[in-house]
Amino acid sequence: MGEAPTGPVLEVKDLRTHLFTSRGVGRAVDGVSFALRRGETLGLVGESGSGKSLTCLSLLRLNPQPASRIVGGAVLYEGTDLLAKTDEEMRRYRGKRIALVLQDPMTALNPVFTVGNQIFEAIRLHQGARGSRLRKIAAEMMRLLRIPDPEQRLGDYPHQFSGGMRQRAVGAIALSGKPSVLIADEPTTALDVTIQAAYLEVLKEIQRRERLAILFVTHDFAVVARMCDRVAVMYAGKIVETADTWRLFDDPRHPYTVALLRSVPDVEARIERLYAIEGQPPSVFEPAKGCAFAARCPHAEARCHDEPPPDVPLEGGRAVRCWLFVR
Amino acid sequence: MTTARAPLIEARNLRKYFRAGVGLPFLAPRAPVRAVDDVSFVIGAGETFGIVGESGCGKSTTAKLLLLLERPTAGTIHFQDFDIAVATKDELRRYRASVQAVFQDPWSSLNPRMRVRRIIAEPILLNEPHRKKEIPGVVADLLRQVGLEETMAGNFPHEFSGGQRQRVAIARALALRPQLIVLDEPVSALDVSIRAQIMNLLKEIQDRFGMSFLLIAHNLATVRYLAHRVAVMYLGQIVEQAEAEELFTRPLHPYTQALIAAARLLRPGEEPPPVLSGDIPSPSAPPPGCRFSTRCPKAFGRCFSEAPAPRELAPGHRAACHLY
Amino acid sequence: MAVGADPGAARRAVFPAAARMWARLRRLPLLPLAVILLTILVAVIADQLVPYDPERINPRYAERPPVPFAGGMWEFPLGTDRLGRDILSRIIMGTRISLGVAACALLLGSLVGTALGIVAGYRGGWIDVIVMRTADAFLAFPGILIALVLAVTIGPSFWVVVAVLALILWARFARLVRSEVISCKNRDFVALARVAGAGGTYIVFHHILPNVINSLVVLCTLQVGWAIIVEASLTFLGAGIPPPTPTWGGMVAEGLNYVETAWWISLLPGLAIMIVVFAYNLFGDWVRDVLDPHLRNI
Repeated sequence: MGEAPTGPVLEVKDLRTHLFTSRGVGRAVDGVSFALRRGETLGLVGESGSGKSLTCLSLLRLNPQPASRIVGGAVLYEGTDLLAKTDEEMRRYRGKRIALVLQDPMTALNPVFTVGNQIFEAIRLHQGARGSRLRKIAAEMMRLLRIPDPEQRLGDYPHQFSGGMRQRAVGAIALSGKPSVLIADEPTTALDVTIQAAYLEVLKEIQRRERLAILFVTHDFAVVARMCDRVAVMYAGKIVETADTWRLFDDPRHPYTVALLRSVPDVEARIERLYAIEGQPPSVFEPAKGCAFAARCPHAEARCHDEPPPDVPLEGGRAVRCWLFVR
Repeated sequence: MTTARAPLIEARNLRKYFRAGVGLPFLAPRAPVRAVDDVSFVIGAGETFGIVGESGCGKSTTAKLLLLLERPTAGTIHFQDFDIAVATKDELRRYRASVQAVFQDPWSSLNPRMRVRRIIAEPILLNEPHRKKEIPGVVADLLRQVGLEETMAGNFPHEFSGGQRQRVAIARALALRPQLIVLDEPVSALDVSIRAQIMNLLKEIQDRFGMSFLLIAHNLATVRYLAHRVAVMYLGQIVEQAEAEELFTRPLHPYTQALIAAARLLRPGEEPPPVLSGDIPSPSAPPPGCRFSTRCPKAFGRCFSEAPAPRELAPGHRAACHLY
Repeated sequence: MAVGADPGAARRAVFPAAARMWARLRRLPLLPLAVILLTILVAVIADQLVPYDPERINPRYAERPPVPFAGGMWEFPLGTDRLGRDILSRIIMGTRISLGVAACALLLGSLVGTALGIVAGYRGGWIDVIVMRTADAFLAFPGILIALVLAVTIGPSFWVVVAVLALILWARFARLVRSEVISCKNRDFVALARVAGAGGTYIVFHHILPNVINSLVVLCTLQVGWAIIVEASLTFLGAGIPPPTPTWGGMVAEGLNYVETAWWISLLPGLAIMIVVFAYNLFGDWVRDVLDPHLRNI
């Protein structure tokens, strides 16, 4: 983005969220660190169970309790640690400074209230607007998200909206607090490709205008390419590689990233045979002694199995968590 | 329609209309949902025919029609030398044994109360009960074919991961050595790294046994990887069909072009392709003229009044569009 | 060859399932289970167990209190009633009646209800409408009034009570089974069975029933307590098992007029009802936790 570099608006340091169940303790988020600047989109990519959704919820301290607990780390919003806030103080950050959009818009909207009512509610809460001004701002928010005939559609119920429009309405609610950080957990996964493309364009336009920082969780590389400036790849609760989007696509370093990119078919190329990563992702309840990917890694050496690899900084601001890069 | 391979199954002018809701006395009857509206295609022996489209386009209903899970409102399905609609009991039995399926959700497609042995053997028990004695050997062999251990036959489905369950579902579909397997979104419920395993397994199985696949998917890249020929569906109709390479390198219909553009990896600095405006119209009230006209960036006068008929624009490449 | 099947994965998958099952078993409610097993045993061998004939009248020892109280005697540890009948013997015999009524009513109600629920859920359409509206009508039945009417017209008896309970129970079972069948028949494995050529009967017996049976067991266990209470209430009102057959509800009713002087005549059978119903409900809750399919895989 063309802005002068500033300090990160959100900085996550060594975040650890563990699961506490009858099966034991699961290290679902196990030392996640990243920084997010204004106007930037960081993609968080990983398979189910890699901990990306729990990371998102933990940032807002909305992780399910008592099944999970944040056991360590720091979430710095403009330098202040959210994990040290009281619940009351925390409420003032949610929605107002950091907004959250989830995969299924139907569960985010209350079916018995009109979409307008739900947007009003959010605006009242965050901006204190009332009466006709409320209506004006709500219609403005819907126009911002390119929902056609906003004034008229304010009176519609969620089921009268299509999937794509519903997700936009959720976006309108999320952005009504004028947040500076948006956490989007697979917001396009439930949408059809053509609808998805339109939604991403709207989101990008808002981002440019508001200098929004976005943490965008997805498992779809086409969405990453369209949306994200940088990508962090998660595996078994850890970020294993971070790089600028196209550096990652063109020159992946971590064996998991390499394998993952090679295992995805491409609409633009004829592929005779995909590379398939053997085995299953590990269970968070049985953490590996060394690198979590070692059991499936074609390059694994003895120490990969014995000792967890460090996070190795590389050129161009990228980093990789792998023994192969330790000299 | 030109196919290099001998046709195995042919669908002609298939239609499936669903009545919308229950007819209430004081309400005007609602228009039926035209889930599948005049769809014709041929699946050749040993080929993978892919149907791609967005939700509500009728691709899954088409699959259900071929699996005889739904009865067509109109149109015919020809298999080998007979028409399903007027087939004898014996012919129908032969058809059912020749057409099997793998569905999207491996958590729903295996009965949680049955052991894997029974799940895999069920098609044999139902169709060839005289082979009952061979079952342990057959099941062990099928498990090996799909990359599972023979010893897993005694386990229950919940003891498996998603990818393993999908392998069990594939083993079951193979049990009768069918000539066609309908794959309805076979990998979309799986994790990225497991998808490649299953897609490769499907390819291997086709190479080994030579059966045909009908692949239903919304992910274009998956279809390109697996399918030999592809049909693109929109609002109950096939708008374009061609050999996979032809379709993905020279898409003719604006909808196909938009789908491919939306699924591409955009290079940095590259201007994103124009997005389609608006939503997919309701299949109970499709727009007059071309069904895609409400969202088509290239639509002109005729598109809004006259429905385009599919025409062969290149060898084996048919599209329904007034532009050509 | 892409083999996603390392044997360790299966073992990993098996182990937590077994561990979870074990964790649930450990929470087995021992005391309620002991009560249930004891009452069943008592009901079965009641004839051998009773110290006296529960219906034998013995005015000489009428209204004896239980042992620890003044006037109590060890020959009648729980005291005697107005007619000098041994309360312990009557409670023991009453166990057989109470459990017998509950078992017969549940058997009848669950069989009819399950069959109709399966037909309604699986076939749908007008059969579904008829069965379910009938079930709703039966659930709206004032059971006690019906029992009173029947008691007056054909005379109160064991089987009238069973019939009245079953008339309400079948509808509860039908509703539960129908909803389970509907959610089950829309699952892909049923469609795949049809693709493989299975017919309706095969699907019901091999795919649907095995998936409904857990809910049936849960409902049965939870309804035992209800059945015991309703039987006792009916008998208390005189519309249930006619005297002199010893029943818990009947005993409570007989002692009602003498609560001030001979409280134990009503209180002890009342306690028996409470303890047994409580035990069945606690046990039923546990069975639901273990078997309920909606809590599985979590």
